[in-house]
Amino acid sequence: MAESIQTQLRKGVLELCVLTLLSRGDAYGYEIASKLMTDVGMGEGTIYPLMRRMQEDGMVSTYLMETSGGPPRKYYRLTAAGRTTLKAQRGEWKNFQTAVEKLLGDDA
Amino acid sequence: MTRALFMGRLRQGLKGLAAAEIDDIVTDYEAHFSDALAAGRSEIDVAASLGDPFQLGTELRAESKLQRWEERRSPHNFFRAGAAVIGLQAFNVLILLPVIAALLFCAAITIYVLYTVASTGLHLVAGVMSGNGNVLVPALVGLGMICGVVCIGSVIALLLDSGLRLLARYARLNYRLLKPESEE
Repeated sequence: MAESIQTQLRKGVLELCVLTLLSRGDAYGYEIASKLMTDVGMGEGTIYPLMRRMQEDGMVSTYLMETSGGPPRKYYRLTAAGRTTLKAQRGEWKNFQTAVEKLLGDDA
Repeated sequence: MTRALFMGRLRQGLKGLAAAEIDDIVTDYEAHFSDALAAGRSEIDVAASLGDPFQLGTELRAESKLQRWEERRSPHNFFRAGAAVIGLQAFNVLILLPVIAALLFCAAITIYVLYTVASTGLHLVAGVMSGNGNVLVPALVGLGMICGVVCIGSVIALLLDSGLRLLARYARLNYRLLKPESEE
């Protein structure tokens, strides 16, 4: 197998993780990237292509905010469509999780 | 890899996109470096965990071209998207090259045959205008030929379209964006 199951799983739920993060408050790129790296072991470089795609899909919008000393920062904000997607994906994930746990049972 | 080298390689991979789009992408990564350095990390460490910049660039470019094509399926966008997808590292150009050459060869022959048939058909239909002798049969044959050519042409266009869709799906499955160098 070229890719580990972990990598595949992360790929699948990365969007859900980002949507969840943003539902708790607007954030800038490095914030999202470092949070996902420490929490789910996601490679940092992956976040920017994902943010671009989510922006094209209308799930997030961006705005610039001045910083003290340095160029303005690009912040990401969840859109109404993003919230709807989050709700749907969250439900799907919970269902999937329950189904897999049921299948795995207690034997290990 | 240093920050400057990373940015240079990224720009190389993005080549072919609009300048504004390249700047936009590059700004994201510049900001990432700045924030990471401010957090006390080294350039080398940040570059390594971001992954191969050239590959990152080519994948972002392919995705952008594919999206444009999906929004508007014009021949122009078709060729741009096709070229960007073939430029991905996920595809081994040496393996693809004979396939592409064979396809182009087949396409050339098909176009030649279609052209010949179509012009014969046009010629026969044009016979109606001159109006001498029995013109109905050759005119109908000619019309049939033209319709046949249009029909086959549409089928080929459809095949090309679904071909690129398949290629796009394969490419998206193989984007390595989620597998930076630091990960095993």
